[in-house]
Amino acid sequence: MVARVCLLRAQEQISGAASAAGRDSVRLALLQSWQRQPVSLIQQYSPAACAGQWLEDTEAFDGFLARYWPQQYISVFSTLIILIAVYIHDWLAALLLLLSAPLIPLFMVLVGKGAEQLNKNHFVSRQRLAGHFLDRIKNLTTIKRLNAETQTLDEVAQRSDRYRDVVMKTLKIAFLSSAVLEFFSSVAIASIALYIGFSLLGAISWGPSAELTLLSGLFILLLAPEFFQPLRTFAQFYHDKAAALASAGQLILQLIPDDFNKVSSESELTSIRASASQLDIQRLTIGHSNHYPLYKNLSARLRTGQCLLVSGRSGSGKSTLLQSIAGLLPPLSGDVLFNGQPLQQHAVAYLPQQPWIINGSWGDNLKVLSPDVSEQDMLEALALLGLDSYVRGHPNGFGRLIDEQGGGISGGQMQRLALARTLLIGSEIMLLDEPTASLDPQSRDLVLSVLQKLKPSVVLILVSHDPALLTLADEHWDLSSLESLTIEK
Amino acid sequence: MKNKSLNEVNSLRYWSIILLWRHRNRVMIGALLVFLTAAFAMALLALSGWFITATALAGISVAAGAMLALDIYLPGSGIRFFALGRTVSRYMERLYNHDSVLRQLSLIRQQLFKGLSTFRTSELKKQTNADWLSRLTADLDSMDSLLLRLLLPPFAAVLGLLLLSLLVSFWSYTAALFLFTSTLFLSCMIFILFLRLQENDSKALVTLFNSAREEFINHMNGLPELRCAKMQEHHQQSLLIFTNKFNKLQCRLVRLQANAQLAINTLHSIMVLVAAICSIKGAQEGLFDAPVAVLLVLAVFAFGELLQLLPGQLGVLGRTRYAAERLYPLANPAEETKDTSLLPQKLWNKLDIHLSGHPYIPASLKQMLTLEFSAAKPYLLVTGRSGSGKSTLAELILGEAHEQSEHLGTIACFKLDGQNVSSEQYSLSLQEGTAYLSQRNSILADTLFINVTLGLPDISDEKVWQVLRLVELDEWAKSLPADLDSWLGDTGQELSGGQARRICLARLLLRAPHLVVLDEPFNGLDESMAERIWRNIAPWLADKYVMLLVHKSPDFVSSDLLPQQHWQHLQFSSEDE
Repeated sequence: MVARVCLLRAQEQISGAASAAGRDSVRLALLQSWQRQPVSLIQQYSPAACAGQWLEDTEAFDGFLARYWPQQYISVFSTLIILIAVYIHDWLAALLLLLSAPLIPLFMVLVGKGAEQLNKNHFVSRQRLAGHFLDRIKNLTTIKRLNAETQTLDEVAQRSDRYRDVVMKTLKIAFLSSAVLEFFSSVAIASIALYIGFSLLGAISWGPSAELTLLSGLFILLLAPEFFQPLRTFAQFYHDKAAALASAGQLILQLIPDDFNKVSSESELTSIRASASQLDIQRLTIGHSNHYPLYKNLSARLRTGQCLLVSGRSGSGKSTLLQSIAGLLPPLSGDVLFNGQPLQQHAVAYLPQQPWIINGSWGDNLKVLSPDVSEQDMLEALALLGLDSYVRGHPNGFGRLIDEQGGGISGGQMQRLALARTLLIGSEIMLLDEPTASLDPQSRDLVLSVLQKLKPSVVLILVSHDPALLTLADEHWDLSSLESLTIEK
Repeated sequence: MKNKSLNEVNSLRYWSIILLWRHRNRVMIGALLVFLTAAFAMALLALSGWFITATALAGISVAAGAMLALDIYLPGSGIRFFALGRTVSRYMERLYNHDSVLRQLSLIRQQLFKGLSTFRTSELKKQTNADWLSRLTADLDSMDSLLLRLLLPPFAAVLGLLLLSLLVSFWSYTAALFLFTSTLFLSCMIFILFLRLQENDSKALVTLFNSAREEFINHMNGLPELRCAKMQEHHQQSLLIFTNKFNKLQCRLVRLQANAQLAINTLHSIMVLVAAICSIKGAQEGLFDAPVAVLLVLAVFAFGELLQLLPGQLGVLGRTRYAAERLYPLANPAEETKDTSLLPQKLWNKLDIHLSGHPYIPASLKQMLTLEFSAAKPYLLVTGRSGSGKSTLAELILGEAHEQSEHLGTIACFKLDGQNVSSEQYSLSLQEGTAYLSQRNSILADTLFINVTLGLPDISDEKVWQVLRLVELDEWAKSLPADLDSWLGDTGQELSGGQARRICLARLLLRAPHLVVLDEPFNGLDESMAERIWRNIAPWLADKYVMLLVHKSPDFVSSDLLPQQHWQHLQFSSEDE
């Protein structure tokens, strides 16, 4: 008894720890797979949905890892052991148990099939009813504007009731499976008790019953419920498996088996700084699908100190082009090489149209892409863009929070802060998406002068509709006219 | 801090009252069924033990030549009855209690809907994003445990203990009393200790989950920049720290639960041991015979089934409590005193708004904007590129721009029929009698009929067909598998942007509003269809105040029914260049 209690405790702790570790590795694998997958593919999903996958869906594995999976083996082993123990005392009783045990899974499978069928029949109406509430909450603004609150409230009540009806129909069948289990275990216990009782009474004169004593009879009786217990636990944990399978189905789309053992690839960064580097865009074809390429066979060669300006009306695919060059969206064909190697192997300073601002301090935001940068460098970068006053006079310095004083900083300031951050990466390649959009004239001049200053030491690719940037450009692609022309300087 | 813990207690109590108290009869019956199942199981084992022992003794005496009358048929059928009873009551119990849970779910939904529908439009916008909805779903799921895991199992365990003690009391009151009080006391101690110990950790886990979510979303937003700068892996470190913390906390919680299980299992083992010793003593002293002794021991043994499941069930308390806490303010928004005396008695006939310095309407930063609806100029056309604040202006006019109501007074000045009114009064007056086609299409997951007649009772099919004809959707609707009853939205018919737009427009055409605001009504429609539809709805628009917001004014806006001289045109310059 003591051993059993202690062992149960150990089992729980170990399986719990194993499950936590298992979930951990699933999360890690997800993160690693996200490192490898094209950013464009990941961004098809909303960040919130990804967060749900990373947090809740992996959590659904818990029941499976901690309970269902070990229970599978436990139920086989322990029933075998009990069967043997009973067999030693009385083979007929063992036979009784043995006969009833396989019937249970059989009936459970049969009932399960029935429930599944029923579930399929009601699938659409069930899904509609289940989604009703969230759908109405999602559209609550519209409902309010149409003064349909009371009508919808009644509807919520009605639909919930209908949902209950549909679900109960399925459950009536589904619960039969556990009832079958219960029935067989009860009947087996009852018939064993009766069998032992009659044997002890001497009413059964054949088989091994004559050798039964009171003690061995009680022993068998006590073992009988234990014989069924693992099976019952197994059945209870069955829905853990279902939940895990459902979420695994979601996650599997994101995972490739390699993810579980591959180690990082980012350490292979090449950082040899040649005196004059060169970026080759070779016959690049871009677009989201092979059937509709946006642009075909774009080529360019840029040396350090040169600048390519991409312009075109909105919707012409300027940003898509920049993302393809950056490797965020895999090009349909063609290569982008830097000093003869794929650009992906190099750190690139990329500024998206919507600046990414962390809800933290100025320092956090500046350091996130280049963690080892010094305060002096940060201050210089801010000064170049006219933002140093926010940090200089402030008691917290770089620890000053971005959203201090309620409103936070304006869109233009965010843009400049994000640019300052990309400057700090110190990369030889800079890809900037609309660096002057949403800036007032004064800030725009600041950004222009920074770019002027920077240009001799980097390969610069700009996407913009701002004519002022034309002065920087050595090469200009106007996507509206679909042709590439070189500006003579 | 004190307030917060008060809120925690309140929220769990609030939901318990709503969910459990209102259904107290169902809850009682459910608990009785749980108890009955366990009682049958106990009886089955106990009676079997008694039967075996009795027959063994009888067998021995028969072998010794004595004549002994043992009725084997009554206990035999008793065993069969309990075996069957256990199966049936278990089945009934599960069905019944799941039914109760689904009823409760329905109540929670109604309560939440009621609460949320008192939120203001501007507040709702913040709430109904995807992230929030997914969390709401998770919270709703956690509320299931309130009945199934937190209430019924302990309740049934106490009833089981009571039954056991009652059984013992046939032979000894002191033993029964001792059994009842000591078991109750010890298991309560164990569970209180367990819940206390895990409370902090499970709360920490939930908060950790939420900060991890924030950090994760942040990471995802920065993915392009991180990837390019080859910093993605580095930045993931912070997420890995979270998974480490999860791991630690979860292991600690598992350990705690395993300890609680250990304590409960030990308690039960001791109970069985003590029962065995007492029974042997009792049998020796002739208090009862041997079969009864075995019966008592086996009854205590079978009681374990009720006791041993408890730690796992009660372990979810932390999560449920947290869910209850989060749902509480949604179902019970802070009461807002609505002054109904401000409600206007009649509809307005002249409306003026002066607007200057609105942060989201750049044009108002340079000069004062004057908008006017009157009998002479009932129609207002606003043009400007996206981002010029058109939709903000529309919501301001509709009285939905409540968020900055304090300084709205300094930005905007509202006049109804020449009378100055406060922004609150204004929004109250405008709440009725407006029809608004917002820029974003919102199609409910429901039939076409419901989508068009939303909020309007008793509309005939004929009328629906009529408005569908006006927006040129009648042919399409006829081609659908079930006409007006065809399902739209997530699990139904796919809609193009233009079709969705026209359904949203058709929705308004069944109403007779005082003021119509159409925000980019032609989005997703080609020029000629836009013109035809505009013609079709012109008679409906003609006798109303109309505000039309478009990025570029089409040349068909004014017509015989909506003559040029009745239009006022407000043009937002493109950006502030």
